[in-house]
Amino acid sequence: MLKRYIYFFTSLITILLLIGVIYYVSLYYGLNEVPQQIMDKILLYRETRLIVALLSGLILGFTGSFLQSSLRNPLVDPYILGIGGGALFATYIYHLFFKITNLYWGALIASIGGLTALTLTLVIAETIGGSDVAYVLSGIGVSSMFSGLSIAIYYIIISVNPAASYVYTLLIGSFINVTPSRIPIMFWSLLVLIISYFVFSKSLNALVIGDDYAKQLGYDPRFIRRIITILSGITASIVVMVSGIIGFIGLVSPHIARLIIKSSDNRLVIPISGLIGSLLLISTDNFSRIILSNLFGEIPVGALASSFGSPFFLFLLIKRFRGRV
Amino acid sequence: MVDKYKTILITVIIVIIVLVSVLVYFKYTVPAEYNISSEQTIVDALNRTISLNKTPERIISLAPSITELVFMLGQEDKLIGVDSFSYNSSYLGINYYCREHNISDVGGYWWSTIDIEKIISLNPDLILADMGAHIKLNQTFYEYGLTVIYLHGGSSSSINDIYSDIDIIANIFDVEDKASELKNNISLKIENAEQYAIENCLNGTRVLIVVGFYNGIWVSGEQTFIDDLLNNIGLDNAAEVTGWSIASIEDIARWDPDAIIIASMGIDYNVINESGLPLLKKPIIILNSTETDILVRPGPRLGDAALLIVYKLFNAIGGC
Amino acid sequence: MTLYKIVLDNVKVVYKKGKIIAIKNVNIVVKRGEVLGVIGPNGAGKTSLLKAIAGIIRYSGLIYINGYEVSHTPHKVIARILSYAGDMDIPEMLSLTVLDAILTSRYPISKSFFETEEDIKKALEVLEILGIYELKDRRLDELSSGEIRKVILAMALAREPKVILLDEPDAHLDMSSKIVVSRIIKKLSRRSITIFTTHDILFAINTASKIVLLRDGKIIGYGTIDDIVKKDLLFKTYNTRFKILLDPDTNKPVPIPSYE
Repeated sequence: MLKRYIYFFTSLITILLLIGVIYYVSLYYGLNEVPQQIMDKILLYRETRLIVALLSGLILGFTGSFLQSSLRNPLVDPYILGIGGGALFATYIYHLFFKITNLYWGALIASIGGLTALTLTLVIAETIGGSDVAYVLSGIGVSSMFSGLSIAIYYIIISVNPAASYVYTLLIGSFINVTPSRIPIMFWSLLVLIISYFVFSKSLNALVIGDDYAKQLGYDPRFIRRIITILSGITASIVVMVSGIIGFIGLVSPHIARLIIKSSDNRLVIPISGLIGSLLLISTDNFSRIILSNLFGEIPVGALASSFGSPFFLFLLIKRFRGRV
Repeated sequence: MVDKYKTILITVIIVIIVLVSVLVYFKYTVPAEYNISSEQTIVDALNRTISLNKTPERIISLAPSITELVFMLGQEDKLIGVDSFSYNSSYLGINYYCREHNISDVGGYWWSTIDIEKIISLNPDLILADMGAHIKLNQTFYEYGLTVIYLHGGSSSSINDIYSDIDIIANIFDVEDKASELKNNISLKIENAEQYAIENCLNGTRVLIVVGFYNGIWVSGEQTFIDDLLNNIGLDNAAEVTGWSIASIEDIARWDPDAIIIASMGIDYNVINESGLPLLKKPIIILNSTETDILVRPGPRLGDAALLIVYKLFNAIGGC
Repeated sequence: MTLYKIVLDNVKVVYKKGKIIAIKNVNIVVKRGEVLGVIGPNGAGKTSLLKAIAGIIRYSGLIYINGYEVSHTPHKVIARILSYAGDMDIPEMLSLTVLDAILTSRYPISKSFFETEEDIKKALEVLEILGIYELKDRRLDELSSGEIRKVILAMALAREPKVILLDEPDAHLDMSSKIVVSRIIKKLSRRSITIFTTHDILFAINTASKIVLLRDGKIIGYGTIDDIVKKDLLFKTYNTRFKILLDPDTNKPVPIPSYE
């Protein structure tokens, strides 16, 4: 069989094993003598956190690679579509007009904001031609607009509602406060992405080569781009809703995957990218929960993930491209 | 031939996915069980009505101002966990007390650094939280069956908010008398401060309170408890903004404060110089970390804060 | 066994909402076994013509490929019998290997999610034919422009289409590579219809069986080599004087442009 399948299966097995080991170790490590009822709650908490970290990593890894291929740009991640800025803006607006007593709706509002920004990006991109560059530029524009507005609004908010100065911490990426009721929706999102993987990975391979090339193979590049954008945007918004904004994973997991399996074939890259995302998030979350919390207190996962992942990513990069002019 | 096997494989996969989905759905959407019987109901700072089925005996405090209130109301024996800032607070010997009585450090003060697992394992009857800093954990506490009561804490916009926090805690533990005593104590000190100000011709002085230098000069504006405090001791809050807000050096120049008090942790002269404040040629009073705590914590030391302000002012700009 | 035929009937292609007319009044019939060379100056509309036949841009008029009208046939159906090879611009870091790229061009006729043994066999075959077998594991962004041209050609041929459209297949190639490509095109022509564009008139003359002269979107001449390679037609097309010599070995005309 082809050499790259060997790399693929080796990486797949290794990563799955690593994830499995980390999962079970972190679930049962350091359980003190506590009554059964408490033990159950603690296990539920740990399990929930692990599963959400796993699912988030998978979703971000999948959508990152979908978008990099469909937009033919190695520098994009799910937030390129504007959902981060949109979620932040919506959250701020919500706090401007309502004295918040319960953040249950807060999460939903964040998602709606993200999806609104996504829709705007989509409409503008299609209006200016629907090419890969159109999407990237439109996304950057929409993202910046909402981020900028958010910063501006922040000051208005705290002057109207001084108690709301904490708003800027609301969307920090973190798995500390994840609750079991959020798991089903993440699971469905992942399912949709897995189905998309089977439907679209071949066409994404063609799309990377060029729009014209993909067309003469029988695909409709604009349609594919639209669907990928919608799916990625929605599922990434759901991650924002549950765990806040987690940068880095969506951008770097596909690249790490490509470097490890030495191929850019999306049929192989996408699943590995998802698993790398999971591995990164589950490791950093555990590191924070188990080691750091006893020393300094937990650190939000977004910050840690880049600290962990970047050196590894840079190492792979240098190994692969050393000596290139 | 091959197609038949493919169809079977796909059907099997779909069946597995459906089964797993159903499992996931039922495992994770059954809500927590709840005790409906209640001995007392408390209305907290978020206007939620919380039912407690007995007086709590194991409590966790998530903010230093709340911990101080718990101590001042004599309920420290019920503490089993506090936030990191409380754990290291020397006021009232809280740090020694915690270590002596095996009270756990649960992280924090900000929500994203709190160790939820530790809180769960401590099995508290009640968690006292800050409505600004910990609102994000509301749903989490709920789904893990933990009772939480929110106080105004750092979101206090007036002295009355702080009094209301005192009342809420007193209500929980049935120590209304201690609460009255504490409130009277605080009011007395505030009155003394006001008196001191009048006697020393400090009333009407325009004071600017600076609480931080992150990306700009953070000041305590209107509708903060500090603002209320200043008004109550007969001083004028020079900051013409609302809430905890960033001000530019031009704004501050325009407000023309008579004195600037800096209540911020870990600040050195470089930071202050860079902010441009010394250029205004106004008296700058820099508080040490203990004094900063007194001023910025919306807790039982409110009265001490009032006295601190007027004493420092007198030292800096003299009187009549 | 159907006789493959391509018919263009009054085809017109416009860009920018009609402001730019790329080609108009194009009427062409190409039969199986014929190799059509489309030549003309820059901006004549050569690429637009090919793209219209491939169905990847819009046109007015009618284009029939063996009875299927291109704009009314699903792309997927056309992709099984036709391939269009233009230029390629692959973003770095996302680049596939040569072999992977060739395999993508078999997608329209591939029935499974992963490639079959057959797919791999044909892909390697086509690499051999073009003499680039040793490039199979190299990444596309590491190739020279000549190597990329050959890969593009390989991609066009990998699914053995009945209609092959090649946009400047000889660009960036050195002399011997051009000849290899020319030979391959002629060999394929027996079982398919090939239409190519080029700037190299000699390449066209020695590869095609019929020539289309295009200028400003209009056909100046269309017919066999002997009919078309004439001084007046060439002048009308290129606005350049040509001397036409005869190659005694091949009996083909050799136009020489005047540099005065």
